[in-house]
Amino acid sequence: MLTLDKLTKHFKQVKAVQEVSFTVSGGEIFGLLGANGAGKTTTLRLLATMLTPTGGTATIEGIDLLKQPDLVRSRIGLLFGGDAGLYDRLTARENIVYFARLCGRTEEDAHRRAVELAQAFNFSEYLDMHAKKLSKGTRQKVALARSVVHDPSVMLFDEPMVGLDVTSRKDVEDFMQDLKTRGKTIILSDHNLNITERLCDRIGILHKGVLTAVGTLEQLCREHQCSNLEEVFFKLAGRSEE
Amino acid sequence: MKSFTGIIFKKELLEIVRDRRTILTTFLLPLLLYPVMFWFIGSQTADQIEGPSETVLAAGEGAAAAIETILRDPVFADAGIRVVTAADPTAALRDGEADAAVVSLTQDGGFTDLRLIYDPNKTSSSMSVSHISGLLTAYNQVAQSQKLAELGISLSDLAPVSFEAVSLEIESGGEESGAGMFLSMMLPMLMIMLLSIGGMATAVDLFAGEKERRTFEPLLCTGARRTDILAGKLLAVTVMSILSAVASVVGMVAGYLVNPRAMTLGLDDAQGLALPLPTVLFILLIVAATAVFFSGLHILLSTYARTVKEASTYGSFVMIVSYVPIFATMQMLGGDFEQWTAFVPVMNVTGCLKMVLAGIENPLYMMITLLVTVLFVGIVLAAGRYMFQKENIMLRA
Repeated sequence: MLTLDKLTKHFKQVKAVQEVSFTVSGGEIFGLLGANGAGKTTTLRLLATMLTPTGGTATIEGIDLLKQPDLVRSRIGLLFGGDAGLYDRLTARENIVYFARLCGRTEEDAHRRAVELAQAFNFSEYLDMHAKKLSKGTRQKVALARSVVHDPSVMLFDEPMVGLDVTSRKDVEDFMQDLKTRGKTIILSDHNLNITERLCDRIGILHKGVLTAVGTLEQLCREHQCSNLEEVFFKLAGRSEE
Repeated sequence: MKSFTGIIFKKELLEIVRDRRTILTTFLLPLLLYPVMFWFIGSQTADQIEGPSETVLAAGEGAAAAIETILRDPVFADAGIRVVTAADPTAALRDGEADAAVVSLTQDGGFTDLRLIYDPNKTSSSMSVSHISGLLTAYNQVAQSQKLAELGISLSDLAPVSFEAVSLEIESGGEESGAGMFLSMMLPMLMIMLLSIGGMATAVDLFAGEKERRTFEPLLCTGARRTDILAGKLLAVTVMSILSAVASVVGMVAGYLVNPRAMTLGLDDAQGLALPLPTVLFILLIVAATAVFFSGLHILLSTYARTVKEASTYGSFVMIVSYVPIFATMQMLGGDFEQWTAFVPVMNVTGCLKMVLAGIENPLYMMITLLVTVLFVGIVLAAGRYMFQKENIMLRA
């Protein structure tokens, strides 16, 4: 379970995240929607302990990220979209093993996990190929494998499908559904309203750092008298620069 | 070494080994640069000291015969002067067929008036005319001595003061250290320049490169603390910087093996290289500390930079700034460094290396240099650690 309690982040005069509070349970996918600059990525970075909150806090399985950031990091998996963020001069196997080792796994265990994950994500034949030679889809699969190499209980996805073709998107979607089935706590930040509608159990809408609404799709549509998520989004987050 | 630091260090080295550009600039460049450069410079300077092996003198038909007569004197034996007859001696000089040209020669009894021209833009021509001039001076002195002897006059009657300039080293029973002077001018400069460049490519790649490739954020979310990440990367950059310096030394030794005289200005083969063990150890210590200093500096700037391009620009700035004290002291010899220069980073390392190569013992200067270098290493590392904790710097993009 993940709980945000009045989580706040200011960058000098900019109030990036303002007293954001919500809870995500195990086996739930929580969608975080918002226009560019709404505070989605900042919220995820706060949860990943890359940033220190200006106010408030968050707990992951009861562990406070302010008090035990190292322990929080060991429970979190993070996946960014766009470029997969792999080390090009390392092989797929070496990329996965490196992160496994940095998450506390032994050398032997890390290699075993790399083989397991390559089989699970169907890229075993590319395991010893340098990352720079991999296709974009395979790179994203390797990044997925890397993000779960330490079997985290909470997964944070920041626009994970950007730039992926239909097949690769399906792989990511299936992966998220699989994590959900296994009881993982998931936050998905994405601009694509269709994907959010399809995958997320509940949705939170951020606007200028403020969480303006939280609920299931039905709840949001009913509360705001809209027929679909797009209408809700434009009503709450407004059009750009509105 | 903490386990995470070791894991990061090993991974960085693996990536570096697989990067051809880094290997080229860090290892191959100094390995090839020194032998080629020292061989080229050394052979040129050796020629200047020994004089040209042959001097071609162009002269008209009449002048050529008169010069041949003079050249039969024992003074000119083995002088390597060859006279060629040319209808237009000036044209022969201009066309590169001769090193010097006789444009007029008149003889009156035993007196010969000779007008030589040479090309000041050609080293061989300038050297040849100096060579001829020296020989003619010796020829005149022999003739003067003979005439004076006939008249019963001694040379000392005409030149009441005779002097000889002797170096302190010779007077102390040592050997002339011309090669040491050459090495003390060149070696510190090259060593520090290569140290400042050695870790740059690695630092840029490991910090700004990670930001640009977006690998930093996943790394920051692992169990490794930021100090572990910094320490692992610093070790990798320092190792590369030191290996670059080692490659430079190997390059120099290779240059020595290719042509021993090239490194010693054509003087005694072994001169300048016979450094005592404590001196070698001191050089290694100071080189290691300087390598860490430059590594830390490059890491600092590369951490601050958003992109590889920005980091490279900052790195170039470091190199230019570090070259100022190097070039400012290029002409200085070991004995020229005043005590206050021991407090100026980089300049003090140059001073130490020059003193060591000149055989000057100044323990206080060297100790201050070491302390100052270690102090600056500490400052740079503390600044790097501070920057690594600053989220607005680490997550700049």
